[in-house]
Amino acid sequence: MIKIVTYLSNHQDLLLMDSMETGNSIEVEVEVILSSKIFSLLSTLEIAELISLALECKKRKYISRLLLEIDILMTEDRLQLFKSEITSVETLFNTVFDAVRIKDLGALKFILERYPEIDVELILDNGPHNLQGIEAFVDQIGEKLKRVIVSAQLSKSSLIKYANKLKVPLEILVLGRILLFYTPRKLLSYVDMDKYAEATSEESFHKNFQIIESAHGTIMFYPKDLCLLSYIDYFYQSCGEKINFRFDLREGNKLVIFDDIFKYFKYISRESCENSKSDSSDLLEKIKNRYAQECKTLIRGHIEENKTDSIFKKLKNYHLQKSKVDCLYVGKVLEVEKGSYMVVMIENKNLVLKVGDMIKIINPLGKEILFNVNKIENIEDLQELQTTEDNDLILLPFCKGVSPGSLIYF
Amino acid sequence: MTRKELPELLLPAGNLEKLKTAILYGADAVYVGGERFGLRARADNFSLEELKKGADFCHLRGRKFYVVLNAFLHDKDMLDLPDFVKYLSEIAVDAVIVADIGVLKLVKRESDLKIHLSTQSCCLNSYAASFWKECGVERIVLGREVSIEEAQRIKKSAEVEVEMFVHGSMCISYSGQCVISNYTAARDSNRGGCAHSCRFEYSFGKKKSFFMSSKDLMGIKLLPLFCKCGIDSLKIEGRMKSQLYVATVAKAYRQLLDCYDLLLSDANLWAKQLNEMEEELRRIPYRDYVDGNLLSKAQHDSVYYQEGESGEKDRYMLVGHIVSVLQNEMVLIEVKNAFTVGEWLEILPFKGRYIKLQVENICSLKNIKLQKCKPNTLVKIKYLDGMEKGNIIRKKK
Ligand code: SF4
Repeated sequence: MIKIVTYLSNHQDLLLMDSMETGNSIEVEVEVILSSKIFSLLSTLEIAELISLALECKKRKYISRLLLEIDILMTEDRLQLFKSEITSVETLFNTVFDAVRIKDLGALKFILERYPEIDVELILDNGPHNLQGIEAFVDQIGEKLKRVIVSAQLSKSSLIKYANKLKVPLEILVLGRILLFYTPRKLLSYVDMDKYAEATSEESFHKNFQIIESAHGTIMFYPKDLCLLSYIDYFYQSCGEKINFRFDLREGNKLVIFDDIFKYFKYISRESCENSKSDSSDLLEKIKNRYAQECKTLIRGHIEENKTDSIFKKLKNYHLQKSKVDCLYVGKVLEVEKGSYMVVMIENKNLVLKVGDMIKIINPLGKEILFNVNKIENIEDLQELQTTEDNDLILLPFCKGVSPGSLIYF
Repeated sequence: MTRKELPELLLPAGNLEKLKTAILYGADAVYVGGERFGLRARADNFSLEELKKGADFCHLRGRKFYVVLNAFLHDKDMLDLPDFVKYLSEIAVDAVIVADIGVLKLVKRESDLKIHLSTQSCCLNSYAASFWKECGVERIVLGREVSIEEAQRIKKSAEVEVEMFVHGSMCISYSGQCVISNYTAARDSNRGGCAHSCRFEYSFGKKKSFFMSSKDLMGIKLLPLFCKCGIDSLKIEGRMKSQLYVATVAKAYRQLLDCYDLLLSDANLWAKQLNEMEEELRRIPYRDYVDGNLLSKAQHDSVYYQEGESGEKDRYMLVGHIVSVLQNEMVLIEVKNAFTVGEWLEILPFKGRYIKLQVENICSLKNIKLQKCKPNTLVKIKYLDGMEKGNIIRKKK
């Protein structure tokens, strides 16, 4: 069974979904996420509207599970408010809503304690990005946790590894907007803007960010949407139903393509075996083209490989890093007086520098210079020394090529 | 209140030099990063040897030494972590600051180290605090969105130590919830690669604004409330910031905390001290100060609608620090920024008001008289009463 998860924002969305052929599959399940503006960053529904929409959804056979999403973060005061707000929908738990999906760990813990019968799903859209971390959440939360919604930062190899090892299925975003940040501050109102804006900076790659303000603060989306449609088959073949696929089609008219998405999943599940491979590729293209009417540029994000740490090596001077962890590290050069002396700070209490020692000096450009220590002077009274101690400041004779910051070791 | 009863004053240390400065100017504890696993890819960070030295320096003076492991690690980053954690345990680090639950579990498995939950985990309420406590966390660095009064309730209800940011730069986003750099610069902000996109100016059609740049936090005037609410630790932001910043902020907060009892006996004197310290804090670079969410939710006036920093005209710069006092006649200075004969310098003593000094002589190490000194040199100048090894020297820009 393949699971597709999507949002419905209002009754019109439900009617649109009704008009699609989504009810005739034994291999593809559709799960629907609902929310209200008091629990969610993007929902505009009042509680009464949420309840009415949820009751309507419950009547649809093609919706296999109905999920209540709570994706806001809550400070202590907000959580206290939430404790009373949630009572307005508690009667729907397990009767209408099959599970609650939550981002705030405090809200999740409260739900688990107050409503021990309801299943929960954990939104981990910003990590962890390691198996041990996700496993730790799964173990800590226990058997009521039925799914984890993982980050779009994970690569396909990680996803497959995790899906096959975890006790609960993963849910990934396949198609939709990429959330860049979330703040409780009302950034648009502060500058007298409408609740929706597009912001562009002169810095490269900072163009057309979509910004939305709601009662919970301000969120910002990347201008290019994530599209992993071409990976669905691969994930399904590798992990079966251990990976569930989310489509965030809440913006504009995006939901209209859901019927094609559903058809595509039927191909994938081999339910429609009369269709050829080329039919399914055509369908994928059609979905992308229809989606492109709403969002022109689609990206694959970090799915092939997450390289967001590769630049870090360049940010540091490697020459000045590696020798500092060496056990033969002696100290560093603080000052160089050309033709006269070098001031050195001894920084290793296990090593003694003596007159006659041969040392290696690495300058900030990485050049290695061998140097014979033929004289050591005390910096305070310029008396000659034979040996040094940790934290001593000493003078050594000048050595060409050495500059302040150079490191010394045996 | 004795020093033990006051909240811990926790300073950042980007390198060993800054660590010593923080401790000498009154920090009860410092937090530092190793060369990996922390959130500041570009900070100097500590080598293994320096971590040991840092821990020893703190412990010898009865202060605490924390190491940040607060990056959100990917699987490959976790491979070398066990060895590093064992090493931290060997050198008796007082706690590690962790954001990622995978790292947390690994630390618990590999060591007996105490664990503080990083603000990056965005723990904002008592239920979340209880969750983390059950995972083995002893202290929670609360998100900057939490007020002091909320923090007090979280501490009481979750029965866990709480730490709050009291000073420094702020993310506009909930901590750990911003991935702008991940998509615009291929740099993981949760592994130390933030490109500070929130500080840029953006245009909305014709309108332009630095609409998402946060002002800096300054909670010094709220110290009495922090004390009253039993906040365990007051954290200063800024592992990337200068030695002058570390000295100024440590000194200001230490001085005010130490005269907390004055508030009851002589409120006017306390207010005078507060004014003086606030003035000091305006002598280092900052982007307008606000009290953030410490009293109530941050509003319009928490955004810094401009570029650069505030208060240029009152700004000071680091000259260097005293490396040694030579028979109470001269002091040896490691110079970071040049000065000349005739210039006025200010020495920041560890306690009390700064000492003003007009430079009469500058001598090189070989006792050659100089008119001007250069950065990255060591020179001697006249000793004045009150100067001590480790004192920071500054001058007006
Ligand atoms: S860009 Fe700004 S809000 Fe985002 S992580 Fe960096 S400092 Fe924080």
